[in-house]
Amino acid sequence: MTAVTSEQNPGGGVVPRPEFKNTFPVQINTRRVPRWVLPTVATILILLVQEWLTRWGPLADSSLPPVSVIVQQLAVLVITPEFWIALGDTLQGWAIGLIAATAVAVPFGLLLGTTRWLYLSFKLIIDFLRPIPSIALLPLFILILGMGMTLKIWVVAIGVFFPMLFQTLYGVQDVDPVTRDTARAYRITPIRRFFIVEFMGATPYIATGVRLSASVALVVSVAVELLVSVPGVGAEIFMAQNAGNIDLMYAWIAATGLLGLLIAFVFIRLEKAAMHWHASQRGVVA
Amino acid sequence: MSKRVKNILLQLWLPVLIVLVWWFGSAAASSAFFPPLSDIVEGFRANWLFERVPTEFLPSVWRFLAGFALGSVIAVIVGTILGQVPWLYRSLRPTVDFLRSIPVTTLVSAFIILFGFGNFMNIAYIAWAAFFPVLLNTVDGVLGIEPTQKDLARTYQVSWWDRQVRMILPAASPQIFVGLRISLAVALLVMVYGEMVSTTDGLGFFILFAQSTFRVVDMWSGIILLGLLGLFVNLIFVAIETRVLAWHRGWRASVLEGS
Repeated sequence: MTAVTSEQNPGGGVVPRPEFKNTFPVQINTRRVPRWVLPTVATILILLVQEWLTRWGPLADSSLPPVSVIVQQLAVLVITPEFWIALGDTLQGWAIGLIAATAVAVPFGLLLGTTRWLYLSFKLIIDFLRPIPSIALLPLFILILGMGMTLKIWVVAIGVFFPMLFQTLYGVQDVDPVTRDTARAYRITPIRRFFIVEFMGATPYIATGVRLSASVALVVSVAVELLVSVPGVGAEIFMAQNAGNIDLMYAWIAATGLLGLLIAFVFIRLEKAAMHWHASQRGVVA
Repeated sequence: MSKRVKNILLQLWLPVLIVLVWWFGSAAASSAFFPPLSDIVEGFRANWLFERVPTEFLPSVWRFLAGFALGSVIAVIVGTILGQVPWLYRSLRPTVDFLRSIPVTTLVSAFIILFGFGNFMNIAYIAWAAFFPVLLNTVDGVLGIEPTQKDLARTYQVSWWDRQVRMILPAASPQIFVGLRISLAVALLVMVYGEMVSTTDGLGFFILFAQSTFRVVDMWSGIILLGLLGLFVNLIFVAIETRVLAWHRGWRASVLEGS
């Protein structure tokens, strides 16, 4: 089990580190019981306990429905077209916001990371803007953009922009100075050097940034939908809650959980595939 | 010009320029959404020095601090235990992964239905959001402790409590702080969001309500106060981190800021 401490992470950025590493890939142990048995059995047990608690146990009077009811609702929900339309609406805002913010934040981060005076010029502005949660800017954007897909895209993009910018900055700072000096010694032109040293050097951090941003973008996009009734999963949850259809609400929440899990899984795989050449992915950490 | 002065000037010229452009640009234009900056400053003074501080600002701060503290303390305790009982951690992993994959903003409805409207719901909601990043990082930190260190403590028959407090927690603290830093941002977002959805006071409620009643100046003043709050919270966090992790070599060595 190798955890990367912040020692290898001087800038304070989030270290590129694939998650889920303990559950995937499934490994057969030398012991008699395969590795997947314990988590599976434990999870089934937890589900059974939840079922008991909410059906007959102390939580029977609470609003929390048993797992079986949620699953049942979800099964009914999944075959309706509304489900897929809402999902599509959410994912559209999610994807466009994510891509747009990344497309701006990465070049900007590379520029700031390699140009000291530019970095210092923007430092205070970034320090001030970064801690403002993107949701706090929602009222302002409602005034400017009205309520709709554009609003969702902008707020998602703002929410993703700063994490991406900072991951890129940390990535550039983390480029090995020896690589830089080597490239200079070999008289590689500045433009080429920018791409093969700074950009390629920062890619592990950028890839991690994209993976983290993918979940942030989902969080923000659902938030906008729920707050201002822009079509999407968030609006559906709000409607279910208002209609008092609590089982349906939990079915939607479970669906977003599965979606979040799927997005996390896909992006970890993408990161691994894109970064297979990089040392951080070789799994041998000293 | 000394290097220090040059550094400060470099950091200041653009913010000053932007404020100046905003000040004079907004004074001339008559956009409904970008009121003159002088009006915003005046609105900020009227609202936050200190008329609405007890009714809007303090409730937000209280919810944020209580939720963040609650969530991260529980996470550190649970994480320290799970990190030392690998089979338990592996058993809970699928459940934890599912729960933390639920976008936290969808859960607001569930929290309202479970806890009703009010402070308790907001605090529990913020605590939930702060919990997972700290938990996972604590477990990672504990798992990453040198086995020799653990063996040494056992050889010297250090008591269970001393082992937890003097060996495990300090050794995992750099990683715990990484988690706390992530949680801080999430908690702030959830605070604002929770207030927008469910309360009738607090900064989140204030800015959304100001917008929906077209009190644009009030809205701006609220957003600026939120920025200042975030900045301040981050500064305090960095100060604490610097103190606590002072022993930890090379924990902060920024290439760009070093002069």
